[in-house]
Amino acid sequence: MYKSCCKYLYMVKNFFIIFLFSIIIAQPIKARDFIGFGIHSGLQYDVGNLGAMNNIDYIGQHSAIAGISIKIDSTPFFFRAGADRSIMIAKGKVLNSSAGKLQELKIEYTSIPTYAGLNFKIRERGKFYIGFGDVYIVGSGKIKTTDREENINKNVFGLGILTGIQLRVGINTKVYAEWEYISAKTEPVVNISTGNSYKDFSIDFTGHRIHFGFSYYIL
Amino acid sequence: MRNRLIILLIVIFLTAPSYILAGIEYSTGIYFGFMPSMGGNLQSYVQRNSLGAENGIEDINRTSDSSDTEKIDRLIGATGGIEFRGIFRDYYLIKLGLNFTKDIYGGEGKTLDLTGDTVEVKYSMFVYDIPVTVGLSIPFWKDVRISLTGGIAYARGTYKNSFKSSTLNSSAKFNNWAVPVVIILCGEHFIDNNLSLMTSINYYKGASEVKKSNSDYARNDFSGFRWNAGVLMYFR
Repeated sequence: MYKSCCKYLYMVKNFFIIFLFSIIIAQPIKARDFIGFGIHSGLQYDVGNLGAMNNIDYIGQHSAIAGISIKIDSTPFFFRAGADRSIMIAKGKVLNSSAGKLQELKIEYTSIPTYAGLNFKIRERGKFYIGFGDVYIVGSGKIKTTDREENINKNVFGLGILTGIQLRVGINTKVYAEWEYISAKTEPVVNISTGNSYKDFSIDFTGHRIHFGFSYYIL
Repeated sequence: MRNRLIILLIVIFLTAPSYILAGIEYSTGIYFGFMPSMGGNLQSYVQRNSLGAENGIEDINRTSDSSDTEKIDRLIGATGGIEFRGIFRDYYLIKLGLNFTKDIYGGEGKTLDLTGDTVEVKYSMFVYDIPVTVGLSIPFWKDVRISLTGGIAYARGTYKNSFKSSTLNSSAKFNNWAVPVVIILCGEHFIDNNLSLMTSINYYKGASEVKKSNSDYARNDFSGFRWNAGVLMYFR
């Protein structure tokens, strides 16, 4: 009796180990679609939004974006948070005195956006999503005027709108492309008007961003 | 022969709407959202002439270490509305809406004039618009519809501003209209056969003619992005 019980327990134990081992090595059949981590790169044109200034002749600052994201999908809703770092490719230049004393712009920032919105499943191939949220921006950079070059460190909250599309390329992997619009502007940080000493130029992070990335769903 | 032709035309006139309308899927919806940078730059003559601000609210902020100023943020508007849709032959969409947008944040603070004197600044705006757009709406199974439409809107709004300092006392109210261009990207997720959750990004581009109020001149600018979310009810 004792012997047969031990044999039974031994079989159960072996079966349990084999079962666990099988789960570990097996490829999941059902695609994971709940929590995904993403890494992306992107572009922003006219960082500092000089184009919004009146009658200005300028070359806009162009920046690359490197970022990470976490997206939680609970059909039909999604929540997306992340962090993006802008890396200057070409500095912004004012071509004449059309912007007072302002001459050059070299702005870099880290943005921490959080978005929520709706997911729209495109059959089993991917998702389209639209959301809104807020963005915290930690900005830094140099602003060169005719009489000085000032280092700037400013943080600001802004609002954002996000839309994107995800395409499934593996059971747990997706590629994505996103368009992001952020509206955020600091208080004045430097003086650019002639004949006055007050600060009257703000760093404007407002603009459009495009992201292309890859995400891996862990759950 | 002539009588037969008239009879034929009458029959076509009476029966054609039934053929056209039979193929249309109707829906109506309600939604709410927000609009960053409502009213564009809110530029006016007084800001340019008396305060030296060439670009309205984008240029109005000035500060110094010795001054008592408060940052004047761009207007953020709360928006809401209703819409009516008709979908022809499963893919062709026509939309008619009615939206109301009112500033709820920003547009108020203190800045400096050209002499360094403190100026109290206040902007506010209210807009209603009736957009008519046409485009495509693509269904993905019975769960999702994604649509892109474009068109025009009749937009009318009231833009108020006031600038008060020891040397300036200006306030103005501009009530004006325009027909901005509208583009709407919209997604719908059906939670049952007749009800869907929707969200959209709307872009408006257009401003009114310049109008005078007291000693100030300005346009009403209806341009900008809007984000909306709501529900749509289908009548099948």
